[in-house]
Amino acid sequence: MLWRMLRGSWRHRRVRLGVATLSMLLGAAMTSALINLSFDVGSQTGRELRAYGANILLLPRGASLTPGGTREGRGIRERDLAALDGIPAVVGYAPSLYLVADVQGRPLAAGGVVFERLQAMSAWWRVTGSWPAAPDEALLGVSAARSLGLAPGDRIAIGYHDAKRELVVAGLVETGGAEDNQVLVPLPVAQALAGQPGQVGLVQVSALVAGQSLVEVAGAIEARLPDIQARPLRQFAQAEESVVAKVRLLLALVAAVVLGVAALAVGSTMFTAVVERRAEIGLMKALGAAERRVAALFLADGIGVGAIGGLGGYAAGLGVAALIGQQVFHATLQPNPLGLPVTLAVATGVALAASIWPVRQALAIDPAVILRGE
Amino acid sequence: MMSAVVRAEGLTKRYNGRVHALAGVDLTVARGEWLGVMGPSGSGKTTLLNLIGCLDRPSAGRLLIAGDDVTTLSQAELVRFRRNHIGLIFQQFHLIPYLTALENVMLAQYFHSLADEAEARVALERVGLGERLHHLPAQLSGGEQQRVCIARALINQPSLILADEPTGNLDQANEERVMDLLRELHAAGHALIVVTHDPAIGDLADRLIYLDHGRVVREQGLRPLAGGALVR
Ligand SMILES: Nc1ncnc2c1ncn2[C@@H]1O[C@H](COP(=O)(O)OP(=O)(O)OP(=O)(O)O)[C@@H](O)[C@H]1O
Ligand SMILES: [Mg+2]
Repeated sequence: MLWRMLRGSWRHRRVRLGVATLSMLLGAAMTSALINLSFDVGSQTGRELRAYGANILLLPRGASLTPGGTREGRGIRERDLAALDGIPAVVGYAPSLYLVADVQGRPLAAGGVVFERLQAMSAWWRVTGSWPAAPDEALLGVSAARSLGLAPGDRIAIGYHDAKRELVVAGLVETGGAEDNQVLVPLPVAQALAGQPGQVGLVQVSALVAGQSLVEVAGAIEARLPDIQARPLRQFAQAEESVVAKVRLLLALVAAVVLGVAALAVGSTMFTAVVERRAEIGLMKALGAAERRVAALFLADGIGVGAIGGLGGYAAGLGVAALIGQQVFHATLQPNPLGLPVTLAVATGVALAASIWPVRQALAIDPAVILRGE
Repeated sequence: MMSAVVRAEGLTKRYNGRVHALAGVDLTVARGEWLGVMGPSGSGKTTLLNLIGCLDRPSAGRLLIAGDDVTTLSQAELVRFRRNHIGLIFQQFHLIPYLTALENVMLAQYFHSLADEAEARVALERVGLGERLHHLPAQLSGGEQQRVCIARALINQPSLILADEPTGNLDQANEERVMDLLRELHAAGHALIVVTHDPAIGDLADRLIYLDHGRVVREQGLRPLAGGALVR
């Protein structure tokens, strides 16, 4: 019988209930998007930021970093770096050995690098020509190329003390950073020039931070490589954590506001219903309806609005989350298994909470109104 | 008087502590008796029905219905008492607009105990609406709506049926139809209290009381009770 009554009353008031359900659906959609995104947004953002370069720097223990970011040093053995492969959070690393060389007769910072490794971590570098592939090819910074008057395909002479090598410029690189005024050469070339075979001065590490902090990853690296100090790059550590936190906070705020609005919409719909159905409620009481039956009728409205809005909102929110994942983080979304139950519970809970006051009003209606007429 | 369905002593209702809607009414209604209540507008007729129907509480006095002192009952007990003992017929019918005739009757069963569609169908057939079971109130004439209301009032076999101006909104033909039904209810042994302005309906009662300014100013026995006992 309760079902028959609900069916009748819902059909009767479908427009109003539809509006309330729709606003609940919006609230639920935000909730669902929040849950599905925040589950994955940590690793999403970590992976995304990795494309912007290294977030940990490895230096020989006791060494310090000179302001230009270049350093002539010794102390890290290239073969020790294999240990980095055993740390799951480390997704890439690029060793380098810097020296101030004599390039075409001028002093210029020359960095010995492993090009494949560097390229994987430097997605935003703009290279005209191509990345060096052969052991005698170099990558020249755009500013250096301009002042030296060199273009891709030209030969370039690099000397250091008494050693000297001749390479081919494979491409010009523009990063907006120090590299624009450097020449990058294959690591073995730099090692040979410096007379430090098998040695590197500096390693850029790209670590994926999902669930653990950059400092923890740095600690793990130091535990495996005792002669090395691992320095998290502050701006990256903060950027990653704050991007995730901000996206979450934003979503949570929007979800809270939209849910609040939805609660108001449901509450006012219910309240209007109580006012309009005054005679009906009075009649039910006059017919001997127990309070819980009257309450059940109105709470069922709330549950119905919450459940339908919650279901629809879950689906819509999943769509929104997938879209944000695509557009903002360039990643496909794994739906959070908690999404459906939590969204349903939140929507139904909010709708029920919004119904409490109207239901109390309904219960307070005096059955004597029914005989007096209105 | 053991067979009294209603026994009121000094029944008083004040609104806002000042207006005396009822001022000390003494009244007895025997089991199966039909009591007519007449009186000018504002004399307290509806107030009396509200009190006897346990829809409202008296300000003073004693009220026993079916032998129980209802003035001492809690709110929840009043509700239970009402659904077990009282059937209500209204001038404005008060059917639920989105429920069919059948469902409106079943609603009273549902609040009483369990909805029983077959039984509700029989009640509607009894008031001549066997063909209109699945119509909404808006699809029924005023007289038909009132008959649905009567079917709803009798569905739980109440010992007492209260009617406030049951024909107030009806034309002559429908009024007669409703009067016939009231007569049938009476014959079936229900006690009736019928408030009316219409002397033709008042004349159907076993006994008639006149209210004015919240008091019983006149009382008139019209015919002997079914049991043979003559009232006044
Ligand atoms: N809720 C209320 N608050 C204040 N006064 C009320 C209330 N209900 C009724 N009254 C007053 O009580 C008196 C009796 O009212 P009641 O409704 O019982 O009259 P009635 O005999 O049914 O009149 P009518 O024939 O017009 O229906 C009237 O003076 C009315 O104004
Ligand atoms: Mg009245």
